[in-house]
Amino acid sequence: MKGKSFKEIIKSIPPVVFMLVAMIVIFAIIEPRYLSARNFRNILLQCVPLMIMAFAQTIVILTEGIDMSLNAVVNIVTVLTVWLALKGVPLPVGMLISVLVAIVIGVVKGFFVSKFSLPPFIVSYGMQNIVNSIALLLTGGASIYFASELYRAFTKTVFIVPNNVWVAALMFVLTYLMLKRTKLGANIRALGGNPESLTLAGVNPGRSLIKAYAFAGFLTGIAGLMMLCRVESGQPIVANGLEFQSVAATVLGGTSLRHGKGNVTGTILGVLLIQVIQNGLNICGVPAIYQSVSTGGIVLAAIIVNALITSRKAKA
Amino acid sequence: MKKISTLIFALLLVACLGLTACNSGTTPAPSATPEASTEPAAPAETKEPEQKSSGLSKATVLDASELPITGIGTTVATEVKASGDYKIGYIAKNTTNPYMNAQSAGVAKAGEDMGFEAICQAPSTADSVEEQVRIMENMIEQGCNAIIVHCADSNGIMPGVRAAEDAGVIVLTIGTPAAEDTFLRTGVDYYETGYTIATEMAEALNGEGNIIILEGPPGAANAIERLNGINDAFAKYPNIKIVASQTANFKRTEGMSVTENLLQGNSDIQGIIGANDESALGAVQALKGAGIEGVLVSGFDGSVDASNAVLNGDMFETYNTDPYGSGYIAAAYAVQYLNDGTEPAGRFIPFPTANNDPLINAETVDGYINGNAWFNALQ
Repeated sequence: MKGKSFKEIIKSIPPVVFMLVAMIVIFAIIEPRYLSARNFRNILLQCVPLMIMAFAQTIVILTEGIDMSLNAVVNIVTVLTVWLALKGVPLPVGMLISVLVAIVIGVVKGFFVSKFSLPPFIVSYGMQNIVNSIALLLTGGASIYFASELYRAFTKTVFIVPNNVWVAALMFVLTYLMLKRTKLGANIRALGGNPESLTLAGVNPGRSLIKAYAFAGFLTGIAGLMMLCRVESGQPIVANGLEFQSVAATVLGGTSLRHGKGNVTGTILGVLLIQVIQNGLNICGVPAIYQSVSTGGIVLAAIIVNALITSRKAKA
Repeated sequence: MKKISTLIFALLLVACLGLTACNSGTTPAPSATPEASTEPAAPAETKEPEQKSSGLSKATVLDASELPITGIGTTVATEVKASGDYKIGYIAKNTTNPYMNAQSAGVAKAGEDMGFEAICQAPSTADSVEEQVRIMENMIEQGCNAIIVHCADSNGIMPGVRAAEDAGVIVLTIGTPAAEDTFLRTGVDYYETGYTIATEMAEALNGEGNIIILEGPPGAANAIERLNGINDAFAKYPNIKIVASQTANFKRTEGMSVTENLLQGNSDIQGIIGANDESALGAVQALKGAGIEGVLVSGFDGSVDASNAVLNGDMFETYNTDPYGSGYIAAAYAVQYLNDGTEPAGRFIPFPTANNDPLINAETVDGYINGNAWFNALQ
């Protein structure tokens, strides 16, 4: 029993952990500076917006959906907050309003997906274009700027770790508790795995779906605020591309695109893996054109390893 | 639902309290602007891109003999030599544009010629300023003495610039400047490029005609400056009419489709200006497809395809924005400073300028393609 349990423990560690360790070792051998504490602080600092977006993506993917508009929501949050500030709204109030807008966008997506049984990919893709256009309209195309010391409050360090990393940690705890401890969490998993069971249990699946998208919207709003504090300006295109990375991170973390299987803890590892690869390639001075190949290759390899191990487990 | 909404509300409240607490606890950095975060007297003018850079130094246009390098394009050379082991980082905007790759090659060549280690990087998501900041932070960690960056956005790059300056690393920008003056800005003055090209076209049309403008990406500051230059130049010619001004996102396919669509509505067109060569080449294809001849098409950058189009007579003109030489000259200024603290003559020294005869048209194209064209560095 004991010997077996050790094996079990090894088996139960998600493959992404091994990839993560392997990458860190490889980069450390190539460039010893990689192992400095400041560099790991950089990695954490840099991954915060993607991390919180990936939590939101995980929730949506657990409902067997996908959200291609997360980037647009982050863009609009950075733009709207600064735009409101330029109109005279105090920055913290503007931040609050932007997060509420992000939640509303989530509700709208959830409504379309549930009421008209539309594919989430299409709904969110349409939403991405609409929201991105609004962001561009508000800024007149360029970025907009409002001077404030408030942004930098989040890059200040408390207990060794930058403040925005604490925010990401708080978002993780919230998401984790929501998924594990609340009825909504159970309903979200059921939506992905077995929606009929919800109806049988007397739960309105549409309403659960809208709540799931609203929660994801809230997280994305917070991700937008963290992005705002990083670029200190309203940037209408800043998060483009991160919507795909958030899906990749979720899948790397072991969440299945179907059947409502997976968890948000794995997503953290997925995001860290992506960030560690990008940071390592920078530090080792890999030319930019080869970086995309390397990132793509490593991410694919990780997902393939993941799939192989999962299918072997299923057979055993 | 109730539980969750209560939770969210409580969290927002906590977040707000936390924010204000953090704010009052931090001492303002010396570079901080005097406005308090909640001050409603917001500088509304900052929305205008031209005024955004009003705090920046004006261009100091130098004679070719006053520059630390000689030549233009692939003929650049310098006497400057590194007197120590320097690491100089270069951050492009993307890897999908030969222009950026040539700039990278210019910095790499400078490294060979002057004797420093050149580290050339670019964001994996094209034009992501957030990723550029990440790369800057990583370069500081890597021990770079100077960082040359082609900013994807003026304001967005500032956290990276501050981090570099705090670490004692000098920052040089090419093209789009940072929101505050850095050690040096070089590369072309986008406004001037737009103004020069549009004036040239207006003169060739004898100050009369219908024009289509294919704008750059809506979020890109350089495209907006260039557009302002174009519009200001045409404003001087009352009989030049801009019949349409739409974005083609710097892309050939979009330049083609947008032009095709616009030609449906206005077939009486005398000139088309693309905000870069790619969109201009799209317009050339659309004109050919529609069987329309005699329309003057202008672009910017002096790329391979555009130069050949000028040679064939498909395009009227393009502007040699020499990314290769821009990267090279930035590195030369950085090395001079690292050697003995030599400051440049200004904070914005454009290169190339009108002094360098940047126009590529029917007269100059032959010498350009077979001579110093920056793209010859990529082959």
